[in-house]
Amino acid sequence: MIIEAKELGRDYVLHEGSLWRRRRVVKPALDGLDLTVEAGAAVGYLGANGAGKSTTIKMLTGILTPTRGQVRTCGLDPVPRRRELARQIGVVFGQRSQLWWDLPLGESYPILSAMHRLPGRIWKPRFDTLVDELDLSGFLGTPVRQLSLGQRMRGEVAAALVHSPDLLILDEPTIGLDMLSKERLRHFLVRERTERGTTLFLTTHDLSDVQRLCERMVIIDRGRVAFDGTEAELAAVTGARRRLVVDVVADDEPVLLDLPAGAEQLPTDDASRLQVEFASPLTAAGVLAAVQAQCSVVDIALTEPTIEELVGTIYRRASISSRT
Amino acid sequence: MRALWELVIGGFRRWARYRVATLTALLANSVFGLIRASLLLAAVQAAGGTVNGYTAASAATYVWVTQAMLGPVELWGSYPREVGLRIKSGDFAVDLLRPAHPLAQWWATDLGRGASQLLPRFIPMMLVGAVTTGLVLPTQPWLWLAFLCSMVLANTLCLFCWLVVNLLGLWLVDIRGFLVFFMVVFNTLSGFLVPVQWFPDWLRTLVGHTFLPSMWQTPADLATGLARGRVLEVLTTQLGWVLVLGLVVALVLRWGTRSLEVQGG
Amino acid sequence: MAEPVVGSRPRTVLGLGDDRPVTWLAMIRVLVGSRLRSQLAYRTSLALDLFSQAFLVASEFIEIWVLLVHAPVLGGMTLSQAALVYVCSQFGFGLADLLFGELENAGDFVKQGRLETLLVRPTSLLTQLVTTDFQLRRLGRVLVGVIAYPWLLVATVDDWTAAKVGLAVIAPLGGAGIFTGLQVWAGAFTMVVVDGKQASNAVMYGGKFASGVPGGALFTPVRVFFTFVAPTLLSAWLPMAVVSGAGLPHGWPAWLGWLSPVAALVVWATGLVAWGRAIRHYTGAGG
Repeated sequence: MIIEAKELGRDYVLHEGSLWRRRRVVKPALDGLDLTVEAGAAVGYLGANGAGKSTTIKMLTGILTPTRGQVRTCGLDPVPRRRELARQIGVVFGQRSQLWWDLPLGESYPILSAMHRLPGRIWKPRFDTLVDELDLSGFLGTPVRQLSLGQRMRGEVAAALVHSPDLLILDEPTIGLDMLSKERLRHFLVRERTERGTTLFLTTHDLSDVQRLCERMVIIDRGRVAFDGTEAELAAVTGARRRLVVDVVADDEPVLLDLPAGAEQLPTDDASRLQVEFASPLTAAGVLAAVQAQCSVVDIALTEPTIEELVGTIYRRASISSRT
Repeated sequence: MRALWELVIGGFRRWARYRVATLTALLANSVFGLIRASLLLAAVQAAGGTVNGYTAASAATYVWVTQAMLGPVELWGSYPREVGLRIKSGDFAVDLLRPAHPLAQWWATDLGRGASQLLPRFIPMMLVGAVTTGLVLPTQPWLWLAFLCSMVLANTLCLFCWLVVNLLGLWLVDIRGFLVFFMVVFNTLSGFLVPVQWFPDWLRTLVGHTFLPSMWQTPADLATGLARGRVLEVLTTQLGWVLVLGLVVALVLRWGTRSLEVQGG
Repeated sequence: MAEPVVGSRPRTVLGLGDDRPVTWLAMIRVLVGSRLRSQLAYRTSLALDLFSQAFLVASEFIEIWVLLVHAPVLGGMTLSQAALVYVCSQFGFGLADLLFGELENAGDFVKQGRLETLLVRPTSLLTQLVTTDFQLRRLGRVLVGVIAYPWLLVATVDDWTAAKVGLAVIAPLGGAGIFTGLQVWAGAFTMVVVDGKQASNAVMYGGKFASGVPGGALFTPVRVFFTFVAPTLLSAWLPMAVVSGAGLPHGWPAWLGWLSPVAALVVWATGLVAWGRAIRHYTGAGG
């Protein structure tokens, strides 16, 4: 097990009220988290803002001491052995740069390698591979502050991997990236994992990151695990309903579609835009074929449920099943 | 007028919020005040009791009044630096859209800032002085009024001077050298480090013909009583310099905005 | 830009061998070297910075100079003795500022969330903070010391003994030790009290100011504080008083002038304890 957390909890102490009448308020950010990740796995760690994702990452990397419970990362107790652990993990903070802001991108890597005490024989071939695979060669001479977000994130990922860690932790790696940059980064991460067996642990609130990269997803909500399993299992639990939006050549009257069982047409004001909700085992292709049989399609869009909607569904299911 | 008053209030509120900064600044001012008071008192004593009109009591008063003035009067120009950065980045276009002249807006904000520091910075510093070395202060209310006016004029002068320096940023890429240079000039020649009256004669005469004492030494002279017979005279001198520098900064601002418009920046 | 070599890959790093294991010293060379190269690229700007810092150092002496125009002796020292104290203090502080000057900004790293990215690296936080923003322009003060200190020593002292030579060498180094130790303290303090930079500055820069003046002129509580608590007076006034033969206040023995290395050790040892506690506070509180 590369990550083991048992009954993990963390409280924050806040001081509320005016300077004169301060009250000490203890707020649990994480409470009773159980999580194990095998070496080589790829786990998506999902949750809404404030669900406890960053707190978990800080405790896994040794930046934050747990209030309760136990945690082992790469077999080490993170906080007391933080620096030893740092050699075995790579961390990408989506919101914070670990590159040298005013230096050309290419100069960050010798510095990082020196910090890891890696001789050139070891880090240079690795760096060359990363440059090729992440396609960094076009902007190695550009100061980091002048890079686009997509370029910088690729640079950040290379920085987290230059010492060939066993575990790569990514905190919101795709936030703010355009579709093309996201896809490029995901493609690289899949390859890194298959070729080197690097364990991936990423937090996100973008479901498509997880669908593309991870076979397992853990959803946390209010500091607890709300779901832990595969995407198919999640769909089974939530009945994860996806939504197909179809623009059609409109008549005056909205079309009432004849749909396969399990699919449901949502009422719309706009006659030229139809919306259909469906869940597995129905596929988007199947639903689309049914729609196409009845009207002429101009454009389509498929939207995934948001994490908030999924969590909402999980809880509704849970409360229904506990009542019956 | 009403808009300006709102800016004064806004400035007051904004700077009244920094509580930790106020406390730590008081600590710093106290430490430096104690060291400066030690040195000046030792010098007065070694010189036989008086130095160019200063007795031990007035030297101590000078030190604590000037340490206390560091709150309300910004000799080091951090607010004008902020304005300078806004001008450089073009953010000050917002100030141009408001009905009042930008100079009046900045002045009003800075006046509010200064006023917000009287209670938390000026008064406690004077108390520290009273407790540690003792102070001799004017007893007539009108002298205090004159002192207050003089502080407002001094602060205005500091604002205008630093605005001129910061506006150089419109033409030059890096003004760090200028910032250091003027910091040194204002520190040493305005009467902050040592009273202007203690300068060697030639330097005192030279500095006396500039606006520098009006930035700092004049209010201190009113508080220590050294300018007692010349209250109107020193205030008029200060006001004169305020008008002159106000004109300079307004002209520089006008050139600057024009060159910005030409560049389309 | 100085190095517009688009697409270049850093093949060699300051002549670092490719096979040798990277020692701590080699790592420091890479860390500081990267800063130096980028700063040396703008030579004019650097020269101007060095000059303005030297100008600042000179201007701050005007206060003491003016006082000594009126008082022939201040705190038991003449103008040249006071100048010697001032320059010695600037020398020691300048060395410390050059090496550890960035530490006082530890609070800003906490505020901006940048500390977290440093904590997930295998190098100690102290090493990283000290090297990540190594500023060559802080060399200006040291240059003033290098030039003016020997000159003032020769001009002021005429009865040299071996002990005095030793003390003259020890003083700025001990001073650098004391000030770097205080910087570790300041870093630890601002990591816990993130808005407290001015409070640590009060001790740090107040101590620097006090160390550069004839200490005999200071109020006794101030002198005691900056000798025995934040011992900056041990860095210049006391050793220079011994070297130049100036009088010390009643009850202040001359051997105090030799204490700066001991004081530096004590400040450093306690500073490192405080630093460790500050990190533990941070990892406990989570920023």
